[in-house]
Amino acid sequence: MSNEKWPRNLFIVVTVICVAVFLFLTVDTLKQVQARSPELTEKVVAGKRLWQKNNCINCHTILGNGAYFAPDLTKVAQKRGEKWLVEFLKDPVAVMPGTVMKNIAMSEQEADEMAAFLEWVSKVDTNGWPPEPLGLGDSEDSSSGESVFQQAGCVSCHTTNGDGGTFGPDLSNVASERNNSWLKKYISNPKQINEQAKMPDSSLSGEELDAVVDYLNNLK
Amino acid sequence: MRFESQKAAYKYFIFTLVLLVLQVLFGLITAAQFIWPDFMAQTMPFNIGRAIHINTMVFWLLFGLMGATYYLVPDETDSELYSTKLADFQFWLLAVTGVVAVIGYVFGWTEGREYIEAPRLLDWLIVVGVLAFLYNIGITIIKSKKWNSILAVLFSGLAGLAVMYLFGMKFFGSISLDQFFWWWVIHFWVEGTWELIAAAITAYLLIKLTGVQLKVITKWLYLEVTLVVLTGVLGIGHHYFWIGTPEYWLPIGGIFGLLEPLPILLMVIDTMRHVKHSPELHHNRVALLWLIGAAFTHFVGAGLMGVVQTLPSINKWTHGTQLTAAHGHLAFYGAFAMLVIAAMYYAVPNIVNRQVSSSKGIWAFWVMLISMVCMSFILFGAGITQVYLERIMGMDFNYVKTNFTNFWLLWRLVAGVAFTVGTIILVDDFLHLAIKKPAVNRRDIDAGL
Ligand code: HEC
Ligand code: HEC
Ligand code: HEM
Ligand code: HEM
Ligand SMILES: [Fe+2]
Repeated sequence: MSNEKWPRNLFIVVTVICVAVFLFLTVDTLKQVQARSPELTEKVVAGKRLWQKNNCINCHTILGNGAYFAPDLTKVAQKRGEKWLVEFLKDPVAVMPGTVMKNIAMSEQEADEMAAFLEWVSKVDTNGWPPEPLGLGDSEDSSSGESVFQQAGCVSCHTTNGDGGTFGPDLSNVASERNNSWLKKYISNPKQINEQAKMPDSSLSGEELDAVVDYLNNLK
Repeated sequence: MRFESQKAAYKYFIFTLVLLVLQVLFGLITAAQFIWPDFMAQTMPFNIGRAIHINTMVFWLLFGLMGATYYLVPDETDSELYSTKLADFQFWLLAVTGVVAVIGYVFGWTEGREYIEAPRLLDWLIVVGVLAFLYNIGITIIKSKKWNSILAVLFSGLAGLAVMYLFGMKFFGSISLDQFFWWWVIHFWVEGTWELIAAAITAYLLIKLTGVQLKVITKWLYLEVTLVVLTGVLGIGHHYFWIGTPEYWLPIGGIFGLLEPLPILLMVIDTMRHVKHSPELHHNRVALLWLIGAAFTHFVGAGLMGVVQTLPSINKWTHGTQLTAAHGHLAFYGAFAMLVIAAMYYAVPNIVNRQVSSSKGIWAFWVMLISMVCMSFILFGAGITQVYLERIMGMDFNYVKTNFTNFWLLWRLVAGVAFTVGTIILVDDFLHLAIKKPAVNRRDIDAGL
């Protein structure tokens, strides 16, 4: 029998070594994790509790983990800005009429805490995830102003030709009221023109910006 | 069946089937909601349906594995179970807890963490139930003084499973820490402790179905689980790339992740070797078919579909897309679902002393396997589409979903319907076993086992 014990002993020894190495790395990770994210305030923790209570993870991913039904929320605070998030979480349908998130209706305070949580997550050092896209292709379709308008998410806040979101104004006639350079400036950085702007910055390339302004011009 | 107390497994197996049906039902609802977002959007929102889908899965797999354990342990220890009363008590405790959990989700009573949504109070009931289970099994083995390789590996796996669950019970304010420990439960379950349990049950079934000797199996079994631990423990690094944990997890998760298919490949080779050189006639072809199918699907779904996304340079683009769901489905189905069904096809006919109608079991096998493989490859296609358009080209998530990914996901729903048909055949087969009069005297089937 005794010469047949080696496989079992090998199993035990390997397990002990692997677990020891893993625990060592765990201790080190726990030390480093805090420094890789902003300070954890009470408001953020309250937001985290709401995140769990509302079971957001079974529709959305966050840090890439969760469900694949709805967009990843790791960087949403940067994409949308805090004001938008608060408005949206209080009444998603008002901001995005077609939204699937009909069942969520947070109080002002809850929406605030949730936005703080999302803001906190967006500042976690994720080793560069999600990666910058390599770019929209040069195919005719994807660089057209209309597809930029849809893919960059303008459509979820703005209506054009009777279709789209209502959080921002209807843009069907905007080009007759505003000139092109104003539009470009506003679209790339609304706060330059309007301190109180609720619209988030967009990160469009020069070409995409031209295309989207062209698109707005052709709507009239 | 050599011992009366092996019957303790029966209830577990029946409840396994009930939960499987529920799981499939909620899979269909959530899959339909991708295509028609308004479908039951108020009565059964996606997040609740999904929580029920994956929780009923975890529960039925655990019930199946516990049932298999209760059937196996008397056989391997050559003794009756320590207590069938405790086995029954533990069954009802966990079954009621599971049902309450599912009903609770409908009313928003949830901890909001994937797979382990059960709220704290129910967590404690689960802990009590699992401790009762471990006690029952542990005492049976200790009393018999027969720590053979199957029992030792099985018990380490079960104990590890229970310990890992504890790390899922704490609240963390930091989502980085939350996910760090959440993966202790999920990864150390499926790529660690459950893998040990699966290896032990596979070894047991191989002995019973092919007549191979325990002596021969022991060395392989230990080699397999040694490799599981060697690759799987640090392999957890493949979940620590992007959640706010340090950069050194990138190479660690990549390297150990790459090695993770090895133990699974070894299990396939091991299984096939024993099946080919089987000294005995296969009495129970259906069980053997499910067992062989499990080995292969385990390798493809867990090993191959996992390994393709384990390198950080690839995972960076694919993380958290339909590719993950493709892997999740085929891995759980192959590694654990099929194994549980194989164990049921071996054990239930012995318990009720009736012969299994082999044609239905074989039909269920092929219909379920083919539709699940299709579903997984469809999700793979959806994942590639999503990665390319959303992650690489930079298009908006919703735009890609409604205009491109949903094309695939409609076919996923079709595959889901086919899978449901397979499930109905399976359940029907077991219902006949359980309820109908015995058609054949089964004595010849037990002979020699
Ligand atoms: C029933 C599924 C579901 C649940 C639950 C859900 N969401 Fe959503 N959410 C969506 C979908 C789908 C979208 C994409 C827009 C749309 O079509 O509604 C979305 C969009 C969002 C957006 C905007 C994303 C962007 O990129 O513009 C935010 C922010 C958001 N959800 C936050 C939350 C939070 C916080 C919770 C939990 C309180 C939550 N969601 C719960 C489905 C859900
Ligand atoms: C999060 C919602 C949101 C998104 C996304 C968004 N906007 Fe806006 N936009 C607004 C709101 C709200 C206003 C009204 C002024 C303000 O508060 O900024 C506005 C104002 C504007 C205006 C000025 C209208 C006027 O006449 O004052 C233009 C032009 C515009 N948006 C274009 C765009 C384009 C192009 C995109 C896509 C790159 C876009 N917006 C994305 C919310 C949004
Ligand atoms: C009728 C058959 C089925 C259908 C239609 C179905 C559908 C679904 C859907 C829609 C989701 C949500 C995915 C998302 O978040 O985008 C899901 C998740 C999941 N399902 Fe199924 N499912 C089915 C059967 C199964 C089976 C048999 C198993 C395993 C035994 C399984 C395991 C899982 C797992 C593990 C997840 C979570 C995946 C992840 O997070 O990556 N499903 N399923
Ligand atoms: C043994 C059975 C296995 C099962 C049941 C399984 C199941 C799963 C599930 C359900 C997920 C998604 C979790 C979530 O909801 O977020 C996942 C993720 C993952 N699995 Fe597995 N897995 C198994 C084995 C493996 C193996 C052998 C590898 C190979 C290295 C692997 C690599 C991965 C990776 C890299 C991810 C992360 C995907 C992402 O970034 O989104 N898995 N697994
Ligand atoms: Fe893993």
